[in-house]
Amino acid sequence: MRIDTLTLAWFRGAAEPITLVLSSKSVVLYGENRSGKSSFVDAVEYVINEGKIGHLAHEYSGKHQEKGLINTHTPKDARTELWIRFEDKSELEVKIDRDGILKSSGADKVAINTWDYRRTVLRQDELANFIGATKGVKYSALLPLLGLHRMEVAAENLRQLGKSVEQQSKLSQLEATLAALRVKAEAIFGHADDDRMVDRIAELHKAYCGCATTAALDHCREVETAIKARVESFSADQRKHLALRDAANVRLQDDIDAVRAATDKLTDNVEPLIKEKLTVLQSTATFVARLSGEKGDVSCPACGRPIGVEEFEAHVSAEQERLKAITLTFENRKLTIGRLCSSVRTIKSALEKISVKAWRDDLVNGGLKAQFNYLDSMNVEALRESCSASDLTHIAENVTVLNEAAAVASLEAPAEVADLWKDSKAVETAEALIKGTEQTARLARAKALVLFINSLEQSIRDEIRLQSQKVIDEISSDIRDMWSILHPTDGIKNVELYIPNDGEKAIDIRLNFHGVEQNSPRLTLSESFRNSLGLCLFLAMAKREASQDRPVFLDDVIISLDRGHRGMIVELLEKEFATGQVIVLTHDREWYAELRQQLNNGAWTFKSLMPYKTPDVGIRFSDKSSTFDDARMKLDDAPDSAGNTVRKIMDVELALIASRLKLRLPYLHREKNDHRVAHDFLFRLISDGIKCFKKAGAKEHEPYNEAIEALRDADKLLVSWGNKSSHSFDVAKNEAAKLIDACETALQFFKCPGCEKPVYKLDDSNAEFVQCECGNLRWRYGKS
Amino acid sequence: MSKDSDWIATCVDAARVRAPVTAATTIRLEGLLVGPLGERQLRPLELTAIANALIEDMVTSDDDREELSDEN
Repeated sequence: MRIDTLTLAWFRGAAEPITLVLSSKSVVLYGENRSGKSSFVDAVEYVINEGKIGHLAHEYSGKHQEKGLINTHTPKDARTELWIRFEDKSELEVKIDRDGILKSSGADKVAINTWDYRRTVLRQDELANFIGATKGVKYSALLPLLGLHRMEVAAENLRQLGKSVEQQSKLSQLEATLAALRVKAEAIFGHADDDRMVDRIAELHKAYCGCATTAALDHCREVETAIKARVESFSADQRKHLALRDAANVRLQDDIDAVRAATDKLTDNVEPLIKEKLTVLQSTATFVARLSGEKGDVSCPACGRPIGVEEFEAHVSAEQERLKAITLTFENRKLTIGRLCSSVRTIKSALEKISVKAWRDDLVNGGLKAQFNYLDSMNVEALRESCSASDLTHIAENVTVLNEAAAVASLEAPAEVADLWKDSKAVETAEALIKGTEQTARLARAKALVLFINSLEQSIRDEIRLQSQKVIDEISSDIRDMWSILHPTDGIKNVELYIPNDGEKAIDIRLNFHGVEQNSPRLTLSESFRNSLGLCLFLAMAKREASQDRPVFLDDVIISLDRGHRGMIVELLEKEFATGQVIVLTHDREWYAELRQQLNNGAWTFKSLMPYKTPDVGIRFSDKSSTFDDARMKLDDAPDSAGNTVRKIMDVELALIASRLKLRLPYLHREKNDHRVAHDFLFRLISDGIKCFKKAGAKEHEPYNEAIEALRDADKLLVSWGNKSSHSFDVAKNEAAKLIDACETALQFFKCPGCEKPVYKLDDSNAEFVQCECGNLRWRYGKS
Repeated sequence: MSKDSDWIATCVDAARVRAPVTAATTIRLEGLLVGPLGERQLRPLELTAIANALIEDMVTSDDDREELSDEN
């Protein structure tokens, strides 16, 4: 849907309502710097992005950018407003309150807020930025265009979902518990074979219970009961050895070392992390307070990149993801502390038994009183909550000594006690393993689910890659075509988008730079060429959406291009966007004049702005006449003014022609070089043109005599009546009319009647002439 | 929507070959891709709820999963 008119009132540089009439056509809008051109582009960005303008986003613009949006001199009774009328005559009306809150109504069908700003408006500073951006940023910018946004959202959600399933099913903890049980089983049974373990339990069942008819878990329980009964019948000495076995079996030093290692790892990670997170949290707290009611993009206080408010939560979640490693370390430390507590409890429980009292008394008298006192006073549950380095030292100094003493004493255990103890541990472990079957199944299910989700994400990413490749091939083809128009002889070829092999979510641009393949335009292209490439990319993307027939705004995008390449942009616009609506804004007067001359006047309109005066005067269109038709309209009332207008037109147009033909002009003193008038140019065009200006003849190019005659006529009349118009103001109507016709005719000779293109093109850098598109007209380049 | 269904079906089939899960899980995930998972970036709590529902599905239809596994 094209734009018909764009009206601003007290918005940015505008004061009283001012309307840019586009009439659903392409328009070139000229204005000096600060004349207010970009206010119209800002208005379009404002409505597309629902109240945000990118270049206004900084700390001084106010919560709703009201300090930048509203004209500083808006009268009390006036209001900041925008109106955009579309081709279908529907109109969007936007009212902006003093606090920046906007209300919009109308043009619901057009839904301009669904347009993509990045494919509607291209500003000078955005050109090189995009080319220089990372491949990830390019991917994000291009993704909606590829039509794969939904798939990307799904893939990203699946990535997070996989992690969530891992967390919710406690996958890592479950794996650690089961792995520890397996290690224990292997130590006891000498293998990790479940069937052989069940056989061993059956044997024990037969030995202790005398039958073998029940299931494995029942076997365990029955053997346990039998062992308990047998222990009841043990002598005091046998019981002492059994208790000491329990205390001796604990590998307390290993457990202490494990806790220390986990603590060290945690400390290494925690310190820098805490510092970083505290900074982030402080920034976030300040930031969040300002977020209420915000829409659009904000800058993340953590990393600084622009992000939508709604995305902010997801972004914070990503930050939490970064905590995952530290969380795992933390969990691991908890597990090791749990094991240590369990070991200490086992020792404590064993050495508190009455059966070991005599052995204990001997050791107390032998110098281990302090160690027993420490063990007795230990609160194991408190240790689980907080286990400091000092706790570990005390445990090592006290409990480990008792653990070792029990180990020495248990070596003297009678064979029947050692066997019974071993059997009881085997049954205990087997029971835990059998009970852990359900846990194992849970683990397998969770793993399968995570694997499936990850596979699904990968499948979608593969599909994205496949589909995006198709689209970027099409865009690349357009980029190459456009690039070859802008840079036919610059040695940079095969410009194309590609998906790098080294990562997901990335798109970059590669090219052939004078025969050398380059994987990024950042490596070799100058700033002006990057801008040029950015323009091609933008236009290629816009072209892909040509069916939507939406306008494209180019705001001062030619600043870094030289004259030759600016001329090529005209060709590009005519070739690729002849049927679309393009709004070109420029502060370059010569390029504006060139566009007026070269672009099809039926499809394009040309407007210019007056220099900006003050905020209360605002943006103003120039009402100066600057076409031959405009001059003709003045003939009746002010023939002097008509003649003067023609003279000014000729001053500008002939300067442009002279520049393109590299006309040799004598050096004038200082600034006089820049103030030549039409006669100066005509004098040289006539004298050089006799030899240099040629038209295709029957066999070869022949001198273009009619053109020279027309130039002579125009020069003659300009010298007499043109000057009279400016100085003595007594030109008659018929004289001014004749002057207009002669000048218009003279200029027409520099435009080919066949291809309707001016003599401007340098096809071959070695050639000695410039010519029109079809080669009918030629000028011997830079010669006399 | 039908266009979405095409890529969803293609991707789900490809994932099932690599990692067999229960039919209930497959159906639920297909539905989620047509719905919320494909519409916008979900919040952590929303993802947790979906994760728990999927874990529950896996528990309640374990036999189904084994059948699928055999098929594949």
